[in-house]
Formats: sequence, C-alpha cells, structure tokens
Amino acid sequence: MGMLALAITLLMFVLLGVGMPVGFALLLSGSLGLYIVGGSSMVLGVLKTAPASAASSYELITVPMFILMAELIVLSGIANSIFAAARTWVGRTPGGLAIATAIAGAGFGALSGSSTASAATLSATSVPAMLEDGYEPRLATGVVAICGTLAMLIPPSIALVLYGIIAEVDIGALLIGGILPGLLVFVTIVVTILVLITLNPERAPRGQGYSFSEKLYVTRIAGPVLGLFALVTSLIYLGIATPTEASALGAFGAFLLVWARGAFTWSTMVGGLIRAAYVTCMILTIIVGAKVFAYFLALTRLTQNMITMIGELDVPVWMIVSLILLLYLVLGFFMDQIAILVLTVPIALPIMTSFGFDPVWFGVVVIVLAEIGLVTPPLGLNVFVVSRYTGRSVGEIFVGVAPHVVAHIVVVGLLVAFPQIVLWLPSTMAR
Amino acid sequence: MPKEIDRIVRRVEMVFAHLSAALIFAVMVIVCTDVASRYLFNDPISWAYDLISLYVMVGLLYLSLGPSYAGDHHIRIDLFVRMTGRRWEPWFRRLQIVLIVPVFVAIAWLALLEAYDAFAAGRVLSGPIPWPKWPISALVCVGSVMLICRMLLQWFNLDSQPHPDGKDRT
Repeated sequence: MGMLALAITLLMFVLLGVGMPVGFALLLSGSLGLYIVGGSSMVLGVLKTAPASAASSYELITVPMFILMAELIVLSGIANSIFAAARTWVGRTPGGLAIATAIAGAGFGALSGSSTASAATLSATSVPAMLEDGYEPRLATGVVAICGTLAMLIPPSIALVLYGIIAEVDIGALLIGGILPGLLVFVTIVVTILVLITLNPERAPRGQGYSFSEKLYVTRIAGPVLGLFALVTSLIYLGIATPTEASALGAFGAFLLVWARGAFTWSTMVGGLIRAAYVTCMILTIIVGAKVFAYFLALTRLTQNMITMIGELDVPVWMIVSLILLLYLVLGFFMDQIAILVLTVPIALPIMTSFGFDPVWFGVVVIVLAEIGLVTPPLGLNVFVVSRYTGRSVGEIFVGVAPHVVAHIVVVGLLVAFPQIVLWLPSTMAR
Repeated sequence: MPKEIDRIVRRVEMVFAHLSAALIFAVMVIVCTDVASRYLFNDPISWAYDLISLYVMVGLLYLSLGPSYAGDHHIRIDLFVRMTGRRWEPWFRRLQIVLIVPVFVAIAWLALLEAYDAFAAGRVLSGPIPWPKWPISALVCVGSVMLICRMLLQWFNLDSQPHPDGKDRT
C-alpha cells in the first residue's frame, strides 16, 4: 500500500509537471489510485458523490466573496489611492516611496487577499514613481515583489481561508491569527528597506514633502479602504459575524465603494463577477480533486503510517519540525502556494498536531513560508508578475528581493520561537 | 462543421459564465440580506443556507468549469513545459485531454443517471424545505459535458486556437 501511495503521488507530480491543472491532476491520480485499490465499484462510488459534495459547503462561500471583494476594489480604482496617500505621509523620509509601497502593500493586501493582484497593482503604481525619483531599479522592484506577498497574511487572506477549509480549522481564528504576523512582516520589510538605504544612501533619494492639508485630503480618499478592512476584521474578531458572513458583507461594502466612486458600469461589473467566478471555480476544482485524492490516501493509510514512523524515529522533535518547515520552503521554490497547501496539509498537519503543535500556528507559519516561495526562483510567481508589469528583467528582481527573503526567514524563526505572536490575538476573540 | 460546433460551445460557455456571475452576485445579496434580517428583525432567511450550499456553490463550480478551462484560468505548474521551451506544450495538452476526459465522462454519466433517478422518484432532501435532489446532479452533468466538449474541441483544433495566454475567450 505504501509503495502504491508513493507511485500514485509520483504520477500526480508527473501530471503537474506536464502542465495539467492542479485540480485535474489530483482528480485523475486519485481516481486511478482508488481503481487500483478498490476496483471500478470503488472509484465510481466516489466519483458519484464527491464532485457535488465537495463543493456543497456553506463555509466555502468565503472564497468567492473575498475574491469578489478584491475584484470590486480593483474596479473602484481605490487601490491606486492607497499608494498616493502613503506617499504623501512618508514620501519625504529616506526610502519614503519604498516604505509607502510597503504601506500600500499592507493596505491593498488587506482588501484583496490576492498576492498576485497586489503585486500587479503595486507594479503599475509605485514602481514608475520610484524609478522617476531615481530609486535603484533593483530596490524598487524587489520591494514591490515582496510587498505583494503581504496579502497572503493580512485578513482577508484567501490562502488562510483555503488552509482552514482543507485542515478543518476555525477560519476566523486563522484570519485573526494572521494579523500580528502580517504586521511583523510589514515591519520587517520596512526595516530591510532602511538597512539597505543606510548601507548605500544612493539607492533611494529623499522624496517630495507635502503640506498637512494635502496629507489630510489623500487620507480622506483612502479612508473607505481602512473602513472596509476594519469592518471585516472587527466583525470576525468580535464574533458579530462568522467569516462567511463577514466576507459577504465585505464584498457588499466593496460594491458600494464602486458605486460611490462612480466606477460602476454594467460591463465592468459583469467582467469582475465573471473573473471572480472563474477564480472560485479554479479553487473549487482543486478542492474536488483533493477530496478524491484524500479518499485514496485514507485507504492507503499513508498519513497514519507516516505519523507512526516519524513517532518511532529517535530524533528530537525540533529536528522533525525544522525538516517539515524546510520542505515547505523548498516546495515553494517550485510549486504554486494553493497546490502546496492542498497536497501537503492533509499529511503534514496531523504530524504536527501529533507533536502538540497548534493548527492555527502551523497554518500561519506555512503561509509565511509560502510567501517566500512567491519571490524565490525558479517559480517565484510575484517576481514574474512584477517583471511583466514593469518590463524589468526577472533576474534583477530576484536579486532585489533577496535581502527580503533573508529577513522573512528570520521572521519564520521568530514565529517558531514565539508561537504567541500568532496565537495571542485569536485567544482573545469573542466566540 | 467543427467551427460551427466551436461557435455553439462558445455561446453556451458565455451563457454559463454569465449565469455564474449572477450566482456569485446572488450569494452576496442573499447572505447580506440574511445577516441584516437576523440582526435587525431577528428573522433570518430560512432557505438561505440550504439554497447556497446545495445548489449555488455546485452551480458556481460546474457552470464555470467549461468557460474557465477555455480561458485557461486553472492553476498549472508549467515548470517542465517552460524547460522544454514550450515546443512540447501542444502534445502535453493533448496528453492531458486524453487522460482527463474519461474521468469527466464517468462523472457526467454518473450524474446523469443520478439526476434521472432522483427526478423520476421525486427524491427530496430531508428537512423543513423539501429541496429536490435532481438539480444538483444535473448541474454536475451539464458542467462536465461542457468541459468535455471544450476539451474535445481543443483536441481537434489545438494548434489553430491555443489558449496559453490565459485570456478570457468569453
């Protein structure tokens, strides 16, 4: 059984390697595995129920609602004003535009939950501004690539929602648990920028100053963004609404923003809704495929056997945990973050919980590690997005983002050493 | 003839994409109304939970399945494809189609049988509202058939109409 599980898993990686969509690769390899284990009656039995039952979940609507919220925020055009607001407040400080990019990354990430959308928006707005002001291209593009990843941590994060669904962990606790690590990552990015500029001040010249009235004016434009973020997060934190309800209210708030800013047209609205439906479909397809694959894994008892095997190993727990976290880091170099979550969490989480680790903590740490994967070669999705939007070379951006990768690894170390950074805020939530 | 079929499939995909858009908007409106009704009038919408989890989410997935595949909106890990300089990409795509179509044929066929049985027997779900079961399987069947049609069309005219750029064709 163990060999069969490994062979089918290998087949799945081959299918992924030849470019098969992740959901289809999971569905196909899982079906084949079920056929080998239990014959046609087994696989047909699963294929009869799983395609509908895997999608029939009320909690899953958090995914389309947060995606819709992001689409509507992009339509409202407010994303650009976040950078403008941050620029007027901190533009004059050394590396001010880069720090403004980090603030905009946190703000936009808070609204979009999508790191790629965040990186694309920041590339279009902040990189031209930084290059115009004489910033070193490497520094400018590197900051944008890493700031896009903040979207994966700061609520509402699609990645954390997906982890919650796969791991069957309280999504509200996960979203709230991501706040402090998100702020920590934000501070780390700012500190890294300041260190880089201290080492070589020519990398980032001082920017333009703005009057207090100008600062107030742009803040008023960006105000609704903060309001919407506060609404969604506080509804979940205070237990007034479930994450599912908060996501729908957030999407509705974004819809009102589009309307209020005069950005509403039927064609753009329908376009945004269709794009949200497509992304939702992609994620739901992966969930259906993962469910079929999970049936196969359950039959082979792979997870239980691995837990027993690892439990019997005569090595300290910290070494096993370090190896698992290292595995996530390496997987991030080659694979998409959603794929990593779907493929590894069903196996890695039971191992971690068997050692007494908290699933909320593990989810947040895995997301931070996945963030690193978004900016490391060869896959580094965010780097490719920034490259496409700015026209700068991929190699240059990878070099520019390298100091931030080192800083992120330090953050992971802090989260491992002090789990309360993740767990404290969820422990104070109203239930 | 294949062009005609392609045009028909595209039109159906466009209708399905718009239906998916309507569903996602409906989820937002229903959930917000439900929350408002509960907090303001202490009277939540009794059918909201079942309608969304039973039908809307399944509809959202299966109605978008064909059009989202046509527009290449599904995550792929194309590292190996990129390493081979995209020369082999059409062949890899054909291989994927050959492998995955039988799985979706099985899903569509099983869902069709299930929908027919549930409809003929008038099967409903237990609970305060007797929701009919057949639409759930019907959505799975219709969505899978549309995906199969798109894949078969890609198989026959892959080289003339590739979708590697991820642009939405609807």
